[in-house]
This record gives sequence, structure tokens and C-alpha cells, in this order.
Amino acid sequence: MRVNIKINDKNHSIEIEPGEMLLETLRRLGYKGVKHACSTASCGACTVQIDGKPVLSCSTFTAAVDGHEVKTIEGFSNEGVLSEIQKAILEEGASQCGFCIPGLVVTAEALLKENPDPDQKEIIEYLKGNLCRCTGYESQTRAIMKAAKARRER
Amino acid sequence: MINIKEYVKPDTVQSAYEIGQMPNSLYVSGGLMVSQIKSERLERLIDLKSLDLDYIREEENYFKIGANTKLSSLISHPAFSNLGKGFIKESIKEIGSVQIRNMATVGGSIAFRLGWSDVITIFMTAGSQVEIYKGNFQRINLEDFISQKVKGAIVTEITVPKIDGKCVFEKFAKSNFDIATLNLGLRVSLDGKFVKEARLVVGSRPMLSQRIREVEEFMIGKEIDKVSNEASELIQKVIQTGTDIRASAEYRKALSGSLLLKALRRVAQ
Repeated sequence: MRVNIKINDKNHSIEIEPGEMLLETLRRLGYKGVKHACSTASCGACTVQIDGKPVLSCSTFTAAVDGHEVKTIEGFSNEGVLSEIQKAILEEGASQCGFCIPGLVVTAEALLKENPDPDQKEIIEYLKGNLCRCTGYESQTRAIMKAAKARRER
Repeated sequence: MINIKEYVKPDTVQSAYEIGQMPNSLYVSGGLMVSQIKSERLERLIDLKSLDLDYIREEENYFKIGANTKLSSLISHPAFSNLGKGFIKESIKEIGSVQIRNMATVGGSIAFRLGWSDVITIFMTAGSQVEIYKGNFQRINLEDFISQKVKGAIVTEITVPKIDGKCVFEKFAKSNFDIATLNLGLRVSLDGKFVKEARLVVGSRPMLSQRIREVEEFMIGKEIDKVSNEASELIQKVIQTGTDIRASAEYRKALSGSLLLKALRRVAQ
């Protein structure tokens, strides 16, 4: 079946299998920043935004996204220039193996759009669906607070 | 990927139902549950998102919630900040993650009749009704919908009364992102210090959510400040629980007493 999806501001008209998941479609199209991990809606590594809301692409049928707008991690940096959140993650040492980071950044972008000045508790609550086995979340929380401040002062 | 032959998007409830009567068909709303199904026999998914069932409408005595309404909409909708002192809003926040609440729908969370569903316990505590389509539209108590096996029906709407009384929701899980080992909802109306009406629902037993009527009846007419310990002991005697990967039946019985104690303390405050 054919679907039309806008991905990172670019229109795609693509042929898909009826039972295909958005994660599979995105990676097939080259959006490899979207990570394939648990496939059970448990870890958050595959998080993308659909119409501005963070969702899990491993558990979203591509057919259901027909006519909608998808934003992946690739859509948050601008021609190789990192976003404030990505910069802050590097500066605060919030990425070790890095596998969870694309999903985390996509979720954090939605958080800062909803709440430009989140406190520590609000960040932890919003990001509880993005599991990280390396950093223990403190540096990630710090990085998001730093990015939020930078964005407010911009 | 699920190996199916077609993914259809009907635009009326009637046509969705007709397609749903074809063998090996399954309705899909948010997709979270269906995406996890490993079935060789499944041939067809029927997407219910084109049915205009994403709404929250306030009526005089109740709210109507369309089955395709996302759980996140129940948190962001201003009406639910006041309903039962934020009972629905605050309880839904305890479920899953931001991503899951942006995907899971109210109808999908109920239609699958899963034992571990927090949503079913929350809406049963509120005394909700469910509208289903099965050749015609029918409205039944959520409690009856859960206990009867209504095959092939489409859940179209949930009706939540404007709650009178105090409501609390408690769950015990390894993390609040995890499936509950046990969940409990309590709604109490007071006449001064005395319990006038009580509704107690326990889910993730791990069987389906159920009202614990013996404890409800025991509490009626008693002082809310003084009923906690005896009610907590009684629930452990009468509740039916089971053993699964998360906990033993005995552990769940003990847990029911602790969660009820906690809920009663919150209600009495």
C-alpha cells in the first residue's frame, strides 16, 4: 500500500507493507538515527515525534501515519550544527555509548516546547520512558536544564 | 512487522464493524497492543482512527470521552483538573510514559480487557459506562463490559459521571513505568465523618479489575478515621488473587491491605 508522510519537512510517497512499523520504514529510508532496540514499547530508543508529540516508532504502524508529519533526530540539527540539547549533552558528559541519545533528544525537544523552564522533577518525569544503561540520568537532566536555559536566553 | 494482508481505514463505525466480522480481523486504535501480537492467523487490521471518536465533551452530569481519545488528552484537558479533585488526571499520569500516553487510547485500553490495565481500574472506580457498537449502539456499565466477554464489538465512547465524593488511585509497581503488581481505586462519599457510599476496585490481581463488594459494604456507616485497619484486614481475606511473573497470590493479598490502608488515609485527609 502507498502512504504519504512528511519526514523532517520532506514529503515522501512510499510503498509499504500493511503490517510495517514506522521504525522499519524510517530506517529503510535512511533515518538511521532512529534506533531499533526493545521492539516492545519499553525503552524509548526509537522515539520520534508525530505531529509534534513523542511516540514510539517500534509500535506505530506506518499505515497509521499516512498524511501526518514525522520528525526524527535528524530533523533537530541544522546542516550539521547541533541543537542546544545535543550540545549540552556533549558538554555535560551525558552520553556514553550513545544508543539511547537520539530518542532522548527527541523527547526532550517536546518537553522544552511544552515547558521551556522545567525543573529537575519535571524532566525526570517526562523522560522516564527513555531508558539509559550508562549515565544514570543525572548528567542528562543537567544537560536538559542547561539547554532550556540557553534556549530561554537566546 | 506483522505479517498481514491488509490495513483498512473505514470512516464509519458501521463499516468498521462489518469488516470486523470477517475472519482473522482485528481493530486497531493506538497500536501499542496490536503491534505486540504474534499471530500467524491475523490477516487484517481495521484502523479506527478515521471514525471521529477523538473528543471530550462535557454534559450536565457527565463527560463523554471518544474511544480514540489519547490518554495524554485526559491529562491536558482542563475539565479533568477539577473532576474528583483531579482524580482522572492524576491517576492517568501514573500510567506508562509520555510516549505511551501519546499513543494509547481510552477505548483501546478498555477493549482489550487486560488484567493489568490501570485505565480499567480508574474508570471503574469513577463508575463509568461504555458505549459499544455491535450491530447497534449499546451502553453498558464498564464493570459489566469487563466481566462479560463481548466478542467483536467496537468500543466507541466512555461516559464518566461528574464524581461526587473523594477518589484515590494507588498502584504498586517496580517503577511507575512498569505494569502494576496490583492497582486499587477507591471512591468514598462521606456524611460528616461516616462513610455513606464506597466503591473499591482492585486490578492487576493479575486477573481483571473487580469491585470488592464485601469491603465496600463493611465500610458503609463506619467512621472513615476508624475503619482503616479492619478494612485492610478484610480485603486480604476476601480478595481473589493469582500468581504470575510479578508476584505470588499471597504477596498480592498482603499488598491489597497496604494499598487500601494508604488509600483510606488519603481519603480521610
